[in-house]
Amino acid sequence: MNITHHPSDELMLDYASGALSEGWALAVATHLSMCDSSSGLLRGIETIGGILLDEADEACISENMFGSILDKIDSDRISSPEQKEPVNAKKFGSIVPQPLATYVGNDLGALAWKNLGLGVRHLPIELSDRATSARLISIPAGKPVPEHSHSGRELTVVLSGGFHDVTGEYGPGDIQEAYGDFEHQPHARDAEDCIALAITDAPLRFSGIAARLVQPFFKI
Amino acid sequence: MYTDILTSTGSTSINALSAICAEGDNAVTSEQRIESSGQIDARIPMVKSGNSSSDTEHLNELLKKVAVSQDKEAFKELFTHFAPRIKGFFQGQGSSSDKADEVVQEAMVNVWRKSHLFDPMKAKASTWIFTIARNARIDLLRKENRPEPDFTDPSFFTDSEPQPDEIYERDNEAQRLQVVLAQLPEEQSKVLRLAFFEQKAHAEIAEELELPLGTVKSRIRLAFKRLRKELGEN
Repeated sequence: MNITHHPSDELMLDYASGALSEGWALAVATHLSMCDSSSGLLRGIETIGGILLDEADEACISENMFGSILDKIDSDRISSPEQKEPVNAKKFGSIVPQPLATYVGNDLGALAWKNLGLGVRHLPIELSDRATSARLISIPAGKPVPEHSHSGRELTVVLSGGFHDVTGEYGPGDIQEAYGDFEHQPHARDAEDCIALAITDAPLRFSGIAARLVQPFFKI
Repeated sequence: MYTDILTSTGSTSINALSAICAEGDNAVTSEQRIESSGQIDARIPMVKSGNSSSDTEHLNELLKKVAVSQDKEAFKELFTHFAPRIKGFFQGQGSSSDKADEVVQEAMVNVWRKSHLFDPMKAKASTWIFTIARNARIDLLRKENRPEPDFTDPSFFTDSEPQPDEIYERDNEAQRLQVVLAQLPEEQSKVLRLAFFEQKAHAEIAEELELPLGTVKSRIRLAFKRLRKELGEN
């Protein structure tokens, strides 16, 4: 897969350290599932994490902790041991990358889309994280998304098709990282509909009107 | 098998691990503690920094024993090695000792439960346990899911044919990264340490250090430039 847009170094560090909340982490993990190069970098950063763990000062552990842990894992043996779920995420095609499949299922062709008008559809994704909102968005081939800007951060990961805007061309696996007052008007590629995962800062709950002003397109 | 272990060593002796504590003048090393307990083969050296390749190999072996035969002696040795370090790692500002204990406990339980997912071809033991501990902390403190790519998916890597020297290469790479980390300028290494120890995003780190966001970003990028060089990327 010809991926040219990767997460910034600081976003990768935030992901590897565990600092990213669920929505942002979902976007990065989805990109990683499709990108060998970013995955290689992730393993390097996590190796640094492991080295820091090796070098960490040893803190006091209470006498009975190991016993409590044994009690806990002993009770595991009564219930069935953890089984890994069958993996059917594929790198190519219409199968949804595994971290995203946990939320929306495996088949991009069988999603319960909601129409937003002009052929644009979306599918809100429920997160336990209240700080971000996540959705899949589908733009008809060759069509533009109405020009919009964002407050805060927006991460977009292309799942199929592609789009272009002033910052370049985005195809499957590419991630776009947009901040602040960045204004753009993405156009879907001519050949096929563009399906992407889009994560934004969650609009503040008490400022309904303000939220609609900054998110004219995504108003719900 | 499982019952045999309990019978042969006696569950009380397994449970009776004395407090692990490296504070104050009377600090003892893991090695001394284990030797004096007389329960684990004392020929096996345990070095604090855990960075020699034989040490890495030994920890990998222990994890494999846990995965393959639910070996509780091996698990206890892993606990003795990693529990104090996981606690030390996360016990920065804002994390009370109780919370840190919870994270350690959850992490070690998950090391046991997920040991079958450990693959020494992909990561060394301390790297893998770091990811387990990191996720335990997210789970306990933020009550959030942790979306992750599935690197165990056989369809993931197109060129994942295992090479005989792959483990060696992985260790080698980890040792080179250790050198890189030690040689980073203080200001870059400080940002990385804050990120990992306190699980802080770079924007929060900028606030904490009272630095412009751009300065923190460029420190991360400079550090990653070194990192990439060792990873054989451009």
